[in-house]
Amino acid sequence: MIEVEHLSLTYHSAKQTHLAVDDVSFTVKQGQFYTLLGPSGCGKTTTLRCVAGLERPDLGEIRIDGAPVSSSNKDVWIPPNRRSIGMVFQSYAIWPHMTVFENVAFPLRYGVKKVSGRDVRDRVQKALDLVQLGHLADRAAPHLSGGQQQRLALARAFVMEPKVLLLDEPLSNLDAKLREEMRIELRHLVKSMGVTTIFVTHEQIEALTLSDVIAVMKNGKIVQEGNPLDIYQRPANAFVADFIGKSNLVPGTVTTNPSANGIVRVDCAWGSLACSAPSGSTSGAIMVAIRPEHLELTPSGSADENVLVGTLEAAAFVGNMTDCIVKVGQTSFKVQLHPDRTPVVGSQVSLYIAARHCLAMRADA
Amino acid sequence: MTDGPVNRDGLVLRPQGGGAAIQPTAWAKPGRISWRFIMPKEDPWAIVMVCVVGLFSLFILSIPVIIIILSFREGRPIDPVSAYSFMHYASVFTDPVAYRALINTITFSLVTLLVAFVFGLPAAWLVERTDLPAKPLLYTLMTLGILLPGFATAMGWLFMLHPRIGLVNVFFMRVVGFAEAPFNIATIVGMGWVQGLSLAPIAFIMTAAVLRAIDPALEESAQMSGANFFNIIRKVTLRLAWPGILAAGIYILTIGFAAFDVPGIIGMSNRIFTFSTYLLTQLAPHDDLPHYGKAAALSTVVMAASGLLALWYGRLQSQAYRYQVVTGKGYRPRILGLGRYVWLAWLFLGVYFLLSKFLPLLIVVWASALPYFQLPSENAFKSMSWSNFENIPWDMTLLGLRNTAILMVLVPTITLACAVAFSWVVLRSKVPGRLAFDFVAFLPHAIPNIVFGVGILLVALFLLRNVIPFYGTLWILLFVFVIGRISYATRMTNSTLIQVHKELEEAATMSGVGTGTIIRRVLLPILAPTMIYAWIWMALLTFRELTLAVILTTKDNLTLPVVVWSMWSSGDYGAASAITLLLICLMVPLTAFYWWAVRKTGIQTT
Repeated sequence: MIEVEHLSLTYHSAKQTHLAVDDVSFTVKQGQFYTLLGPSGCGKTTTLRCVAGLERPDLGEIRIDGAPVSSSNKDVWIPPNRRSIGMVFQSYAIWPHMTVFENVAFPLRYGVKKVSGRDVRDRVQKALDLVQLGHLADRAAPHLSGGQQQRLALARAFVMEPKVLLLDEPLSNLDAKLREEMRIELRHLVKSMGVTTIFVTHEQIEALTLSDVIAVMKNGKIVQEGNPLDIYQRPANAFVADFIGKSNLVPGTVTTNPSANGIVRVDCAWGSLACSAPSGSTSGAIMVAIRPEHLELTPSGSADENVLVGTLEAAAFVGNMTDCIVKVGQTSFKVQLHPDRTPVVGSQVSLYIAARHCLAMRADA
Repeated sequence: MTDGPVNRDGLVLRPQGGGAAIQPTAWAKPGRISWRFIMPKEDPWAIVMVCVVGLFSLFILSIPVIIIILSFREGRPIDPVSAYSFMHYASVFTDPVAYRALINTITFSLVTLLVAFVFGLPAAWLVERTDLPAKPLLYTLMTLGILLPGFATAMGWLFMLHPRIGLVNVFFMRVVGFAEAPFNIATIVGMGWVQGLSLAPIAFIMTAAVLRAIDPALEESAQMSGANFFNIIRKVTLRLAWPGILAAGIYILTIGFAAFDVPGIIGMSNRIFTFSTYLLTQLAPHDDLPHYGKAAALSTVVMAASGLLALWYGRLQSQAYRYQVVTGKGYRPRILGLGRYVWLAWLFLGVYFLLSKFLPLLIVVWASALPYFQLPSENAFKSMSWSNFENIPWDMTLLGLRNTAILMVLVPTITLACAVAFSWVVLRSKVPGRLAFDFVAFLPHAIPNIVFGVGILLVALFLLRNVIPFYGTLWILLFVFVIGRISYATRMTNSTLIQVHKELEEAATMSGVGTGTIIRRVLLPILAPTMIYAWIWMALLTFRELTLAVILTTKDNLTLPVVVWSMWSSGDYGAASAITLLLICLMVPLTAFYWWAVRKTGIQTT
């Protein structure tokens, strides 16, 4: 549905040039919810704006429904207002001088595909009902709450019945509680419309809960693409392991060839670990990523289980768990323990972890 | 790639499979370097705006260039090219009258600045930093004070302090028994006093804005450190406000350089010249052919001087980071209780309004009612009549009124249209070198307007004479007025457009509309309050504009202030006073509308 190939864009300022998007390629299938995830400045929004047509890439091709909308080779350029893409902006971009109704009617009245008077009313009402704003149609747009403005922006994007929907951090301006509600609703709305969606966010929780596919970006490049479970359980490199969820990252050296079930031995500063290598062949200097919630106080009895012996340095009660720091040799580990079973600070603890949860990966992104 | 119909932008449309709504556009020549640099939305409106801005900028830039060229060219501008030399400059600096005029201008500007600050700064401090009541009223009075034509108050002051007929002087000589007149307004200092009084509101408004932006915590911490009131003012408040105050000072100096109303009304008849009035004598001498070359040389000298001031101003702005504590944030200022000294504040402000507005106007009313100017006496009251109003040369006045009315509508409208185009190109388009346009739009602010008047006169007379004969038409006035106001208008539209989130326009783009619809349906409605405000303000300034008109006016394109000016120059003070009052009365309804608009839109600054 959406194909992006070898997309590159450089920003030029007076003093320096900045490669914002660096040879990015990806494909979004019909009806898929595709997320670009990364820290600020990683090029995710720029990539999205290239698909929208609000930025003009230097190189590469973007095809929607098989037809190129932007191509440096074929010298094709379709301006954004002729691409028929729905978009929700970070600021919502609700026009303050219009009513709720007028905001939604705008694309139908003045857009490329103009719609006759009565149809406008029907379609606007339908779109507003969809986001549960039907009763507020005549209200002045600035008199809406943040969550309502967010829904209004969605209704405006949906009203054209676009095949493609672009969401640029649409939840970031909401307060925490509302954000959680809207997350669920957003996924539901988008899926019920069947619209192909690209979603940009720096919040890993949003990416994990909403997406069919996540592409993690860093420095203008996609460093890993996969479904949420893949990305979380099998990060391809240290950056992804650290950015998605928390990870303890420990440098080490691979000393054996993979065994039959894919386990390798890794020498670390304080000893040797049995690790799995989800991202394929691994050798030499690597990073081992261990999630804090995988370190247990009791052995599970699984094969190739590692034991780390250290001292509990600090523990902070945060409600459903205790955030602990355990020092093993010279290395500090973040550990999440159950509050009832957290030992006294200063005591010696043994931490158990299965080899499949010790992930050996390339150190660089 | 010519296998498709050419659309109106000259681009080739290529049929393409896929989505029906999607129609790829390709350039006639593939691989042009413009791929990234061309405007993001290649629709006709964007191109029209870029063209308008480009042409307009070219014209603005051409004016100083032509002045400079003519200032070096020997002989008269219509003569065939002879030689280039410093001849005209030599004549400026060797002619004692011209040299004197330049020195006078500097003295006049400095006195103007001093007087404007003496009244404007304390007023700003009182409004922003004390518990003085009725502050909105004071703001309104100060703003409206700018609108009162300079020639009206100049007339009033001349009637008061003229060495021979001035009321105060006559009083001292006849009643008190002075041997000679104690005051003489017809001096450089006297004119600077009058000009300074009329520019005090500008000092007030500009410094009030600066004071408002200073974080009061900085003053409070000085107080906590044990500093007393005057030390806080001297060492903290004034130091922090210094760049802003300096900027106001430079602006007022630039206005003073080219001020025409006051030196014209008071100085010219007494043969005391400043730059602007001397310039007029060179362009329209009584007994000689116009000295265009000399006028151009004189203009170049003043351009250079104001250019230096503008550079200094620019340097101040670029060093502003040192004063980053002065933010745009609206703080709750530290308010000083005036207590029982509040009467002193009122006295100060009362004296200002009395001297700058009320007394001069009252005297003009008095003069308009008398057959000849005299002290109030029984005889004088008996001789009061409407005869001055009845003797107004109505054909001339009505022509002036008609022209002024046309200009008053067209000037703000066209200026704002251009200003929106300028702001859009500078802030929203991706045209290479767009920041240069902002600089060009700032030029008429930095260079005295009267210089642009001279430049357009030269352009109209010598460059475009046979191409577009618009010398002596209303259009030349329209043109120069628009250039004169473009800096103000672009600053207004710039500052508003900066506050409009770019995503509001991008959302419209994604809704499938082009730049034209975005401007009409999204930007203009959002900018409307500022635009209405700026429109009325410019209309009022156009209504009373004398300086630019007086240089370019002929008997066909008279404006109302020029009618006043010609009555005054021919010595008919009664009729001049009467028409001035008529003009002020006509401004009242529009001013009321302005006041209403300010209250409605809540815009405060000018």
